[in-house]
Amino acid sequence: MRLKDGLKYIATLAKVFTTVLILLIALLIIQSIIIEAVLTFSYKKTSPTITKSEAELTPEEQRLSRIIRSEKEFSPDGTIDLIYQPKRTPAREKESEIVQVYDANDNLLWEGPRNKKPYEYLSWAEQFNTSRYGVVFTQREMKQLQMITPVFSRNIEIPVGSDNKVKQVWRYYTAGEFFVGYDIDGSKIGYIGSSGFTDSKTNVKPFGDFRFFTAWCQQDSSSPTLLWQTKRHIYQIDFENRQVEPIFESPDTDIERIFLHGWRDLALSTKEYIDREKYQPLLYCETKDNKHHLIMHESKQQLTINMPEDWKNWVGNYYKFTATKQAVFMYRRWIETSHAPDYSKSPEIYQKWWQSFRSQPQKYWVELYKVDNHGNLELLNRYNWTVSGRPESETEFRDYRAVALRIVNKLSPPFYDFLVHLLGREKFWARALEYQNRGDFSYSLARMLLDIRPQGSIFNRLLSAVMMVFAFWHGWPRRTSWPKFLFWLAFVGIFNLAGLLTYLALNHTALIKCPACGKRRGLTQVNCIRCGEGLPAPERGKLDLIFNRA
Amino acid sequence: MRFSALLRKEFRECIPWLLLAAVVFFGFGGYCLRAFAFPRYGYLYNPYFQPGSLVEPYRLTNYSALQLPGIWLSLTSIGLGLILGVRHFWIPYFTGTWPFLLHRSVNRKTVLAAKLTAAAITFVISLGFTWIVLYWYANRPELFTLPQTARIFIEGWIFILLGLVVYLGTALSGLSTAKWYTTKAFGIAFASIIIFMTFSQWQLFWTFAVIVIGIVILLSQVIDTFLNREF
Amino acid sequence: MSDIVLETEGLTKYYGSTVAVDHLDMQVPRGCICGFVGRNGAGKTTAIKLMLGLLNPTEGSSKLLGCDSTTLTSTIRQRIGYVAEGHRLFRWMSINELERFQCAFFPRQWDCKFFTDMIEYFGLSRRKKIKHLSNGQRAQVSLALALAPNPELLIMDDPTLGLDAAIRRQFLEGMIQLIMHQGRTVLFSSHILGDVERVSDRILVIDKGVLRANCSLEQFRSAVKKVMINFDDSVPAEVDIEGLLHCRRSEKELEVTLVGTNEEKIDEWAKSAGAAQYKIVQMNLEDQFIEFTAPPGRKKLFQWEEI
Repeated sequence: MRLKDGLKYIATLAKVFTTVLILLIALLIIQSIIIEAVLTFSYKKTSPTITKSEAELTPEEQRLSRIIRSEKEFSPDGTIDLIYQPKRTPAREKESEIVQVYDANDNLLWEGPRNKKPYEYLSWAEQFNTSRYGVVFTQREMKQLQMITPVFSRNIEIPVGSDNKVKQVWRYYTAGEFFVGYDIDGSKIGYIGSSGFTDSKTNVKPFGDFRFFTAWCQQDSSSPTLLWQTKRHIYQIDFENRQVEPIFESPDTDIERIFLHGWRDLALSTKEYIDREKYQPLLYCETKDNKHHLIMHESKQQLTINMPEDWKNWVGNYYKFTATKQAVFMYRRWIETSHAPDYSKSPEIYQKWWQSFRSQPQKYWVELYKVDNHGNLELLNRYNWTVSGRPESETEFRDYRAVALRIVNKLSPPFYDFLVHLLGREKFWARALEYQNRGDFSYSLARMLLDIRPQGSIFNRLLSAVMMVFAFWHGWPRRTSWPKFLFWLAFVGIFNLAGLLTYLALNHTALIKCPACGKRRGLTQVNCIRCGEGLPAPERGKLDLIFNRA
Repeated sequence: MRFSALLRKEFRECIPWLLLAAVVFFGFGGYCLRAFAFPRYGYLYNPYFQPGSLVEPYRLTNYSALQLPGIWLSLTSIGLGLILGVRHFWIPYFTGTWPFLLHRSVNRKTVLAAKLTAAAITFVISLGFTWIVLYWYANRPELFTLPQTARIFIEGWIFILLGLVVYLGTALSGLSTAKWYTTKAFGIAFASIIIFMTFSQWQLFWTFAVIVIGIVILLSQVIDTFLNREF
Repeated sequence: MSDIVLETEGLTKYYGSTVAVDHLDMQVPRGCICGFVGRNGAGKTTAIKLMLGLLNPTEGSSKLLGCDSTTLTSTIRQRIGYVAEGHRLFRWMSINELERFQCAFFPRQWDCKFFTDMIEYFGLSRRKKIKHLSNGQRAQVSLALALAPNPELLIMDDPTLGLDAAIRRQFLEGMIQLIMHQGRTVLFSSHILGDVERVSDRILVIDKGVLRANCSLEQFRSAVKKVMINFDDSVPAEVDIEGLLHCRRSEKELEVTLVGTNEEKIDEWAKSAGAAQYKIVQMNLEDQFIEFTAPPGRKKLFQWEEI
């Protein structure tokens, strides 16, 4: 193939690609506008659940209501108390609110302001509150830092100093996955990697694929210390002393979540202050293989919890850990109902399961376990209560959005269905929902494609067929070659409205009447596609003065 | 000799815009850069770094000193691409000089190559050199505490490449024989898509990939259209 | 060297479903000055652009100096001078700069002295920018740029468009002198038949995309005649004279336009029709062109009735 022919093919493909892409985007925008505009007319009226006031409840109902609304707390000796706040206020954690303390047998032990209660309960390692702005820094935020924007990408820079003066700055070098240190006069200090500080770039070892970090200032320092989590490791980095402490390594599987308890040595005034006289600094992490690991900072002890296999079958499993000076405890909450179906496999089946779950009574459990040095669990105490099923409320539902979606996606290309099937629906869905790994744009696009695709609609396929017929009718007198003609028919079938518009944009030419057969013919070929006759020649005038000298 | 005559002619048409772009970027970008020209890490702002306190991670993130020049660079680059595309491929229609130009004793490939080369040189001189100067200035230790990263330098060149994408998109729209309400605007629309996708990327590799694919798609169409179009 | 410098064979161009040039067959011999005339929208500019490869034909072909128009090589283009309609040049260039630009494409052919002489002849300042020149001055520069490379074939599309009579005369005189001396072939289109009459030795008439005349100027001039025939009685109902193109009648007078009819045949018919007398009207080329290309059924005011 000559270069010129090659260029022609590339240019033609590029033209088709450009045109269909823009038309698909335009169609997507119009569809989205229609759907979201119709949303304003949708409404959902749910008849109010008939609830009795407190005075109307029977004693049993009052008891059950109190139990459901109570916080279930365990003491270090294993006893369980229920903390009940009779009057709800908008700020639930207001320490001065009046609470009632009950034991497991419903005996009222005490009543008074929350911050004055005479009982001490175990505090637990908590996951970082993702809703607090600026507190969480995950892989997603790291990628957003690196995003190409007109104001350029940003860097993580850790200032180190004292007496309110910065002396050094440590900048995270994303490509190398290590920190580079600079003195305040701009001269390079060295590098901090997974193996610690080095003054040579060739010796520095990368931390690894970043996932999460949290930062705090030690009680004796105003320079940040970082807890740095990568895909398989957790490090603690002290920039002031240029030290890197490996905390945890998961050689076989990825680390999913981290929970801290007393790990960060924070001042009393800080909300996350934990009394280190009573508790050991604890790091609890879950790995992707559903294993739970505990790391005690002071004793350097590492435990992997031996969870019973059958626990996975129950719904609502929730674990919390803590480590006092005497023992390590686990708090487990679960519901005695078998596991929900996979939402990604079938949202409809999941919805049915959920409705059934709500309408039937459910038994809830909380348990306290002691963890031994081998990760084995010893049940210390447990408590259960039953929540009645809630009757189905009468709902008057007008979801015009869903109706609009069903209508507009008839114009979507069958190509979207093909794409999802090619990639695998579950894989597509899973990847689409990998929010951490996806930018806003690709995440939104994946969600939109899953919503807007025709989903095998017969009407959509029929519409494609009608468009193919139109393309056939349009293209028949204009055809130049069979492969090209068939390509465009298939193209229109696959891309539906966008395909038809692309075909018309790139192939519409004028027609004239063939003088020989009297039928319409295109002008891209010299000879009539039907009878082979050439273009109509003018009649020579009898009085024309044509005298060619040659 | 013929190519150089064409190139000289095309480049001279670009000169006013070259100067304007350089002045705008250097002037405004440089002015904004000067505003950052003091050691930024003089002190730790006390409430954020108290002993025993939590540190909000976003306080540990920082923009480059070149952030505002970056905005000027991206705007100037896109504007220059638009203007050069119009100058090279739209204005000859209005002035009627296509027949004169295309009847030169060179093939159309040479004419097109001269235009593209002149545009590329314009970008390199007006924005590329200016960017290098500003980047060098931002790395002066007596004015800026920390040196700029190599990534920022590469990102600047990405913005300059975006200008080339816009140039090719404008050229394609100009060369299109379609009507405005059909596909004439698609060249510029596609260039806009490339810009949008570039600014959605996290990784330099994918950013370059998007731009390179965009340039290949636009350039192939520009070449094919120019060689086969009727004037 | 071939005798034919320009030939077209079945050259056809459609714009949409409208035919602009319809099966144009013509040949232009070497050394000839051809006037290419037609009404507005007849297809002159389209035909010229097809010949120069600026447009792609729907059907047919065209050859310049033996080379197909769609694949004109740079060597062939060097031998062809082209003056586009409106004399569109780069407005920001001066005459000096334009000369430097142009001569880069004709490294061996460019005649510097010739160009300088022409510019001086037209009284132009070389430092002036094109945008500061008048239409006529731009036309002069355009002609100088086209002629300085000494082209074998010169194609000009309405070169005197918008020029006043004096500048037109100057332009044509300059063109004639230089061309006649060096035996170049010229094809030029024009609306001004007086100019065509003055310089051309062949005429090509195109009407609605169709070539209607391709002959020497003398042949055209002698072929197209207008005859006024007077009758004592009424004008005959049927006029069956040979070569009849148009016929208009009043009560006792008949005006006929004839193509290719000699005087004997006119005389013979007049006698047979019982005409009292007849007179061959003197027409200039413009009149002949208008009559030759007039559509049938053209209305005239008041008394004349078209047969």
